[in-house]
Amino acid sequence: MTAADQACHDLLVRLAGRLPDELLWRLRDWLAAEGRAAVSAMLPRELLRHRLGLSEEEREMLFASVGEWGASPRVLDAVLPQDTPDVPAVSFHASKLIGKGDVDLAALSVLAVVRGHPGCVELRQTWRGEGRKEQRVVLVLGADRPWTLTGTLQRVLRAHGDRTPCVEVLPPHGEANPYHRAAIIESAPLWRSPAMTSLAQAGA
Amino acid sequence: MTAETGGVHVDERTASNSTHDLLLALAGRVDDDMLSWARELVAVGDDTRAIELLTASMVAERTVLPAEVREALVAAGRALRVDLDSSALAPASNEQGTAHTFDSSPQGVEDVAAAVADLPPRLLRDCAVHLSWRLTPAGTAPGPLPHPVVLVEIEDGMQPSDVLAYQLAVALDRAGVNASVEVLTARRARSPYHVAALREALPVIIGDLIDGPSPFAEPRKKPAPPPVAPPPPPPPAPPREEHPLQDEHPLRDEHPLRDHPLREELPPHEDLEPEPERELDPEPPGYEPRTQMRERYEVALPPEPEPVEIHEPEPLRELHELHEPEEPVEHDEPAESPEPPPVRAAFGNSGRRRLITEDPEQAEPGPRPVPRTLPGSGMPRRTTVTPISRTVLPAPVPLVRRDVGPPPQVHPLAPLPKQESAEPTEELRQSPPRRPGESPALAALSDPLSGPLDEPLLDPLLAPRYLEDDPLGVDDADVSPPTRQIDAPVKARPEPAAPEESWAAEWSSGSWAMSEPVEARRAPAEEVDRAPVSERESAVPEDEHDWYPRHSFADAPAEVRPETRPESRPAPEPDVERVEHAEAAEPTTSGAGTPLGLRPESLARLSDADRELLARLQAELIEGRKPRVSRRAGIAGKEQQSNGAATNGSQTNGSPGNNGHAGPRRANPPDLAG
Repeated sequence: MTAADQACHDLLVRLAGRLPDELLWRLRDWLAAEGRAAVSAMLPRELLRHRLGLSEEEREMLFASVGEWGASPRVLDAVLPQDTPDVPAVSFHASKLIGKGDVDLAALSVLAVVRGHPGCVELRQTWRGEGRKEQRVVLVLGADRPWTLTGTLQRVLRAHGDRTPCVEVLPPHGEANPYHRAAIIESAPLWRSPAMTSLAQAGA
Repeated sequence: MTAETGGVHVDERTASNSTHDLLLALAGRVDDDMLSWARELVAVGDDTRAIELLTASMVAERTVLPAEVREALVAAGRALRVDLDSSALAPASNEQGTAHTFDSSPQGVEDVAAAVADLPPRLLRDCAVHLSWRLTPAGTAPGPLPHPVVLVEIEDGMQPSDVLAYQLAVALDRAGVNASVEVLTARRARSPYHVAALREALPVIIGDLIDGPSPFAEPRKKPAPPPVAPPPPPPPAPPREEHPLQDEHPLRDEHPLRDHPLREELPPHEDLEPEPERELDPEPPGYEPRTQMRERYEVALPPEPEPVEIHEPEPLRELHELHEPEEPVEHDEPAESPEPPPVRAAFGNSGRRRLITEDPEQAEPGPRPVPRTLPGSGMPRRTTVTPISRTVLPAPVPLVRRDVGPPPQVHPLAPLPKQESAEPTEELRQSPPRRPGESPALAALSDPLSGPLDEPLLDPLLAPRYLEDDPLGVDDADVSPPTRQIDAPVKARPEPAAPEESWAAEWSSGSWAMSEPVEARRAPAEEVDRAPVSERESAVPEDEHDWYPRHSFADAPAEVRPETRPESRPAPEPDVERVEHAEAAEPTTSGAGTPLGLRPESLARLSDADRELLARLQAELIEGRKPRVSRRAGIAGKEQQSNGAATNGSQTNGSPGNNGHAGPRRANPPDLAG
C-alpha cells in the first residue's frame, strides 16, 4: 500500500492549484488517515466534476492508487486527458504584510512538527493571493511518508484558524510543476536541516 | 404553506428536510467546515455531493455513529447512488459520541452577537436566534476553539431550513465570522448536541416562536428606528421573574451583547401572551429546555394591555404610506397635537408585531387592522402608521414618467435675418426644433409628443404620382422661372388632357424599348463633382430635389427628373425614400406667400440652421442661375436641334451632357429621333 499511497500523494501534490483548496486538503487528510476508500470514491468524481484533465504520468498515478483501491473503472476511464499543462494563474509573495513578523504561531507550530519528522530537508512558507483570499502555503522539501506529514501539518494549521490549509510536501530533488516553482521562488525559508546546510557548505 | 405547494415541491421539501435533519444529527460529529459545506450543497440542490462528502469523511475518520444516524446516512447514500459502500462505515454504536460543552459568553472571543444581530431581518423573520460557544472540538480536523454556534429556531414550514442555514452562514462569513448555523424547527425533537447548545445559549433575537406565531403574523419590525415614546413603567404586580439565563451566567453582564441596541429592543415581555394551544402540542423528549424557557418567559409576562380601538381605516393608512415612504417613526408620534391615539398604540408599547393575535377571544370587537402580508413578503413590513386626523400631508409631487421622456422644452428661435415673418416664428416656437435631415418618421420616433398621425405618412403612398408632376412644389411658388431654358421643359411637359399624343410620340421614338444608359445615370454626380464650387453649390440642390428634397425651393427648376422618370423608369414604385421625399415636398405646394416659399408647418419642422441654409441656397440659386442656365441653354438648344424631340425628358434634364465633359457620352443615349 505504500506505493499506492505514494502515488496518490504525488498525484494530489500535482493537483495543487488545479483543484479547490477546500477539497484538496480533505483528500490529503483522508489519505493521511488511511481513508483510501474515501479517496478512491471521491477523487475520480471530483476530477470529472471539475473537468480536470490528467497527463499520462498523472493518469498512471491515478490508476496506481485509487485504481488499486477499488475505484470504479468506468469513472476512471472517464477522466479527461490533459492537452497542455495548466499554467498557474496565481501569484505568490513571500511575506504577509500585516505589520507583524512573518513567523507567527502557526508557522512555529509547523516548524516544530517538521523539525522532528524524518527526511525533512527544508521548510519554506509563502502566501498566495491578496486580501481575504490570501492563503498561506507551506512548502516542505523531503519527508518520509510525506502524506502523513501533510495531514499532520494541515490539522495543525486548521487548529490555528486556517480553514483550507495548503501544505505541499515535495520531494527534495526533482522537477517541480509550474505552481510549485512559482511558490518556491516567492517563498521565504523557515528552516533548513543541518545536514543539508553542511552539505551546501561543503559543496561551496 | 406546504399544502399550497405542488406535489413535486412537497417531495423536494421533504427530501431536503430529511437531508437537513441528517445534517443536524451529524452536528458535532464532523468538523464545522464540512458541515457548512454540506449544508451549502444541500441548499443549492446538490444533495448527492453533500452525502458523498459526508460519507467519505465518516469513512476516512472512522466516525462512530448512532444506529439511526448511520442508517439514515446509508439510506441517503443508497438513494443518491453514492459509490461508498455502507460497509466502509464504522459500525454503529449506542454511544452518543463526544459530549460537547458550550458556554454562552466565554472570555476572549470576538463580538459575534453584534454580527448576528446585524443579520438581514428578512432572513430572520419569525425566527428566534440564540448564540452559544462550543468549547470542544468537532471532527478530526477541527478549527480553533471556542467555536460560535448560532441556533436559529423557525416554525415548521415557514422557511426552508437548509436554505436559511446556508444564507445565514454566508452572511456571517461575509461579516468576518466563522460560525456554525444550526436551524432548528420548533416543537421537534433535538439532538443532545443542540440541547446542550441551547442550554448554554444567549438569546439574541426572540421571535414570535415563544408563544407561537400567527400564520398571518407581520414581518419583524426593523430594529433600526428606536422607539420614541418612553416605555411605560413596568407594572408593580405581579412580581417580575427574571429570565434564568440572566442569573445563571455571571459573565452575562460582561457580554458585549448587553449594551447592544438590539438587545435594548428585545421585548421586555410585555407583549408576549400565553400560548393558547400549548396543551395540544405534546413535546418530544428533547424539548424540555425549550419548554422551561418558554414557561419562564410566560411567567415573566405582564398582563396583556388593552388594545386601543383603531379608528383609521386600512386604505387610508396605505395611502399615507404611499405618500410618506421614508417617514420615520418619530413623525407618527402626536407629541403636541391632541389627536386621537395613533394606531401604533394598538400594537402595544413596544411596537412589535405581536399586535394581531390569532386568539379571537383577545381581539377587541370593532375595526382592527386586517392581518395580511405585504406583497413583497420578504421585506419586513413597516409598522409605521399615521394618525387618523393628520391634516398636513405633503403635496404629491408629480412624478415624471420614465417611459414618456422629458417634457417638451420650448426653444426660443432667433428670427431669421430677412425674409422671416412673425408668423412662422411663432409656429416654430410651438413645435420642437427639428434636426436637419431628419425624416418625419424618425422625428415621430424621437419626439415624445408627436402622435402617429402627426405626420402625413399615408398621403404620399396614396398619391405617388405627386413627385412626378411637381416634386418641388413650384406650381404654387410665387417665384417665376427666371429663364426661358427652364421654362422650356415645363412647356414641353405632356399635358394630361392629351395622353394619346404623348403615348404616340413615345412609341414613335422607340425609347420605350431602350434602357437608360449608365452614363445617363452617372452624369449628375460626375457633373456635380467636376463643376466648380460655385456651380456645385447651385447644382447640388437641382439634382437633390428629386431624391433629397429636404428643403423645398420655391424657385427650383421644375424640369428636373419628373420628365425623365416616366421613361427611364417605366414603372415608378413609391419606395420608402420617395415617399419621404414626397412627404417633405408636399407642404411646399401651398407655401406661396411665406418667406421661403414654404408652408408654415413646413417651416416649423426646420431648425434655424436649416432655414439659414435654405435662405442662403435660395439666394444663391437666384443669383447664380443665370450663368448656369445660359450655359445649359446652349446645350439644350443643341440637343433640341439635334434630337428634334423636345419631349424627351432625359435630355431636358441636362444630366447626359451639360457638364462639358459629355462629348462622347452624348452619343450613348439611344437614338431618340427614331
